[in-house]
Amino acid sequence: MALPPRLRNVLRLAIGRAPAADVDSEFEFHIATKVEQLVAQGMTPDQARAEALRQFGSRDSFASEVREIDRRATRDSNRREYWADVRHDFVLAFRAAKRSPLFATVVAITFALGIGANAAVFSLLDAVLLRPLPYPEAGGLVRIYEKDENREFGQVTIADFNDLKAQNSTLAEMGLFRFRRVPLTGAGDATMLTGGEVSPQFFGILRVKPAIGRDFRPDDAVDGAPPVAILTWPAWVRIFGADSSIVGRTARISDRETTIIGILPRRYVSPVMDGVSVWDIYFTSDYTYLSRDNGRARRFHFATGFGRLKPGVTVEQAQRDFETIGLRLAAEYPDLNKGHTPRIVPLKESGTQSVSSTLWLVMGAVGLVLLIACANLANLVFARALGRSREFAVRSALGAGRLRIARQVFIEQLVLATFGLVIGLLGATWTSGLFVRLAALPRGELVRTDSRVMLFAIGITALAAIASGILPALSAVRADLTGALRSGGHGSTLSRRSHGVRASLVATQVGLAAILLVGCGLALRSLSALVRQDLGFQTESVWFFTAPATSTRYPNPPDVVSFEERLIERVRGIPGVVTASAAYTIPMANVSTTSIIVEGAPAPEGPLPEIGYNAAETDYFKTLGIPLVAGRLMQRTDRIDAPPVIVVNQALADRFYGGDAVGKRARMGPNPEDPWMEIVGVVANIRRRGVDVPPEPEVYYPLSQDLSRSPMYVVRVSGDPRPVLARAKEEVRALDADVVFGTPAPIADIISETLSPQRLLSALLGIFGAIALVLAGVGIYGVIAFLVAERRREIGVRMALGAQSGRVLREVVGRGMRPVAVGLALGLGAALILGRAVSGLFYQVKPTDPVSLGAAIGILLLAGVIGCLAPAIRAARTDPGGVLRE
Amino acid sequence: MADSADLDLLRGTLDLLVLRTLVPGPMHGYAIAAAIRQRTDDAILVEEGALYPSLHRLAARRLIAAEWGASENNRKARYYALTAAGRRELRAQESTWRRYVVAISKVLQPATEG
Repeated sequence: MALPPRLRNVLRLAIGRAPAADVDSEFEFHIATKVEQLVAQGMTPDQARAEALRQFGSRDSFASEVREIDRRATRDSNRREYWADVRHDFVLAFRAAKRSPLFATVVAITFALGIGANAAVFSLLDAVLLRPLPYPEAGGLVRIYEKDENREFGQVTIADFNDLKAQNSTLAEMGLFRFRRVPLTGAGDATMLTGGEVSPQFFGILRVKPAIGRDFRPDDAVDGAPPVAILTWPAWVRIFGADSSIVGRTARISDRETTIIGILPRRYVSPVMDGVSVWDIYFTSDYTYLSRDNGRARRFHFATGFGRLKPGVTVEQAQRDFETIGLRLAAEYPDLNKGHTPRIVPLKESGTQSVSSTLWLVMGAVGLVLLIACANLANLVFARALGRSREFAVRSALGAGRLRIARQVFIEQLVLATFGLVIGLLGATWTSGLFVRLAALPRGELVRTDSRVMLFAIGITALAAIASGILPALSAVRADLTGALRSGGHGSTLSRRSHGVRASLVATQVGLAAILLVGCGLALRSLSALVRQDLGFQTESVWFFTAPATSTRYPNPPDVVSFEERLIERVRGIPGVVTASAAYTIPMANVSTTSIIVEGAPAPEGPLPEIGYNAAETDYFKTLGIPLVAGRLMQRTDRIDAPPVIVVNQALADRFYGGDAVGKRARMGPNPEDPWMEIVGVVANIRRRGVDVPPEPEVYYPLSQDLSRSPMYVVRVSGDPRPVLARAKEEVRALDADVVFGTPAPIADIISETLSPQRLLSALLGIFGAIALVLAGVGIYGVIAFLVAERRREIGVRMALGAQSGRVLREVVGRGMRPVAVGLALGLGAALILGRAVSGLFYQVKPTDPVSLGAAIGILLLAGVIGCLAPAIRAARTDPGGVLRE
Repeated sequence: MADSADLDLLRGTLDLLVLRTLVPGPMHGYAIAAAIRQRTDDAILVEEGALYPSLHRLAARRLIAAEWGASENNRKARYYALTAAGRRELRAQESTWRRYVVAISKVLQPATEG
């Protein structure tokens, strides 16, 4: 507060700020005056003093009372004064922003970029990895998996589930979930519903109650009970128009009249993700239909287990408990349970493992962006503080302490940062939605800009304001203020020191930007390696759709096969169709497996080797462009009643038959009653589990001998696919109006979806790299422009003495590139170290990838030169005469 | 001293008297004490030192302002002066007191008659 000293004194008096020691002299004056008066009345001095003290009373206790009053008053007034000053600083900050709107806008936007990007990424990270799931006491919810040789997180068998449930002492409740897709018919177009078959305890475990109607009861789940279903809120709105009278009525689902007994709450979130974003319906079962046959019950890993920990039990305790039971089961059923270990995983962590390292990496990258933004802002504020050194000197001369000036600079920064916060949060809300769609993130539906995200944003805003304001503020107060006053704002000691500080800020920015650009390069190279990866099959112009023949409508397997073959025939006849066929699954959509016993080979130790499973109609291979390597493909004549045959891929032939498999026999699964099957052909390998997963051994049954009822139909089209697929829908309806035509999609979409985490990583690192680059460029420009402006006189003199403008240009650029080079060296070193830590996220690209490193160096050097060039040219054009005349 | 109700009453009374005493102009503590004792026949201010907590409290509330100055016998003395806020407070307190006194007198009168 710049007040004249006299006024300050008056104010100080008015608020009664007296030093405590004065109390004594005040009392002493009182007593002395009294003594004088009494002496004048005729007392001896000794008598008078005694009398005066008596009349005054207990001096010590009054003194301490008065001091306490004064102390409190001083503290109150100090506090009041402090806050009045802070308020005043805010007023000054707004005035300063109004005075230089361009500077204020640049600073606020830089803040907005840094804060917004961080808030957006944090909102993803928080929803996916940090925030508790939206269930009451969600911390106690766990998923139950079975781990074996082939799978870290495998599904459980009904037999194991029942044994675990009966024998464990750590879980309060347990239930199962099994994925189901069912047709809804009888009202308008037949549609497919996505949902689950669950134990009746399922919603109880989650502590979710239906918003309308009732929950499942155990008697709903027994075999033969009338079918009932619970709808999710979105399905209820979409299919039944939010008509609450539907509860208690029936709908035709899977060709059975099913009673709708409840509607889940609007905010219900499925605990299972399975890549499904919209869940429609739940059924219930106690799965006795699976436990009757003991062999099947122990072999069929079909469902996801859920549970809730007993109060006070930790996940580790439950894990130990379940492991003990697992060992007991393995001893009891050695051929089926050996090597199987039950696993307890907190529900919060399940299903998000695949993205967690990506999200943390992106969070780290966006943190770097904020650091760069702060370095840039510090640079800007610093330059401005130098320009204002006269103002600060004047204020200091008027009695403002250095801390006061530092606080003022900091508050100016805070005001602009707050503008940035508001803009950044708005931007973050919009972009985080975009990221979720782009990446198909698990639990993406939970992403929102809530109070946690806001708190985080406010926190980093304060940190950013401190980080970007504190350095310039401290330098500003350390500055040689009298020098600044005398020389009119350009103290030379000040600018020499400041140049060093600002050059190291530029080096920091360049270094951080180098880390980001290398990361971005690695991500892009990795993505391009994935996109270029030969998958072993063609995706161009190949579409797929579904049309499941339900068991109630087609109870006999031959009817199913006949429906499928007739549909394939009809689709083949559509103009524009090159080839058409069907298979149990297309690549990357499903990871069904089975186990293999090679005829004549010794029985393996432990569980049987696992192989990929599919079933295909003969033209499937032609449609996807998978070549036949040896033998023949399956044929129409390989019917259910004909001898069972299989086609295998090259990887299977190589691993189990030394490359020569045609004519050999194998059995799928350990059941000795299953027949031996003859291998009639070998086809080329394809990548079926993921673009980055090498081909594995795989078996293809003939679709006509397989009992899967809902194959995926594949069509290779020439020209516009839309009329072809519209016709395909017509053909399905013509064949059977109650069969649901599943939404067609290009195969390429499925593959593209599997790459979405990498795509997100590349996109985000790309955006952050670009921001970093621009900020670093601006930083370099700022420093050099300042340097040139300051040395104008010196350059002028030198040019007057005969220095060539080309030389001046080179010198200025060289000077500017020094911090760039230092920053690059440090940044690349850091990138190499960090790259090793995250190399698992990149496909076929090493952290030392010369292309990524080279590109980062090239781009940053270019940005540095561009940043230097404009001020350097200005320097080279200096008119020596003009400068000398000034 | 007596119980706390008495103390509060006493304090309030003393504060009011201090404000009233300062109306003519700035005074130091000794003079204020002398004036109060004289006007109240020593009834209120039994111990003169008790004045000072009152003065400092009023100063903290900014009802009076304090300033060091030279006394008539040329010693360093702390002078107190009414502030604008102090004058307002005095007016408010005075009318409250008058109403209070009238009310209490009305209650007490019939009792002494009857």
